[in-house]
Amino acid sequence: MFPANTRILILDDMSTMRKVVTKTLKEIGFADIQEAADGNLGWDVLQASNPPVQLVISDWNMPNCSGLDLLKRVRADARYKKLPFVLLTAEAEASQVKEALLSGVSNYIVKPFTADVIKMKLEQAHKKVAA
Amino acid sequence: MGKPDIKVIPKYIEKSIVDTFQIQLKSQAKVVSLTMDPGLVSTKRKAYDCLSTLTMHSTSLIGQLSIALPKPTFINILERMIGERVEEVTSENSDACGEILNIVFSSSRRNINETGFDFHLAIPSTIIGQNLTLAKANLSGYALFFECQSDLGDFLVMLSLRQAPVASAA
Repeated sequence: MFPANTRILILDDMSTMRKVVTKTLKEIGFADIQEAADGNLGWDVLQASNPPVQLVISDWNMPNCSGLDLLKRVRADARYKKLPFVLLTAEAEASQVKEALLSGVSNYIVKPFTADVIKMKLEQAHKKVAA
Repeated sequence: MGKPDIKVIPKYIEKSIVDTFQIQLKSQAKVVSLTMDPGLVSTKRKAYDCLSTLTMHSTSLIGQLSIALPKPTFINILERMIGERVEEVTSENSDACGEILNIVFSSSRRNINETGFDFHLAIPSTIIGQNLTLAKANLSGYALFFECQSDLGDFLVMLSLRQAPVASAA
């Protein structure tokens, strides 16, 4: 699993959802959580963050820059090529999951979710990074 | 595959309401009545304080899916979601209503589309106020009112659908 001091960036245009994910991550044991309301703002946080962001958890549908577009931008940048990036979204059609996998997503979480599901998906994403 | 059956749509919407409340909100919700007549919705709850709605759009059918929450239900839902005390429905926190509708629609869309429909993804809009009411527009097609109860409070979901207009040749 990611260490408890992992700096996590969560992205969602709905502030309530950012609070829900933050609360869930804190229940799991994480404490260093940054937020952004869309992909463009998330990109700014990624570049400016010190210590660096070590895990991104992003919604898909956001204005200005979607989670998928941010994922593609991240994977195209050598600095973030291996940055663990998890999509947390209500959209789960097979074609969308496939597109996310082809774009390099580390894992995919479908809403509705529980804390146990988040924990399991993060453990899977961490194993991928460690491998 | 033959023509998809419109009757699956309300079944999956109902399933999605129950699943969303159970998984995301750790709450037991149930649909206590399903009616095409808004006048038959329980007189106890006809005024709501937060409404979210989204457009359902497919090749064959178009319509709306909406959820209406009275203030006590909204407060209970939001407190359960974020683990903090909430006093009022505000423009900042009302997106919780839209998110619940988003999850209900998206998870039902997955199942509905597997039967042959092609509903597109949709983004909810949210309205807050007092004594808001969900009403069926006077269009051809049908509207179904799901009167729901849960341990977080009562709420209403409305599904309205009609045949999509046929695109005319240029």
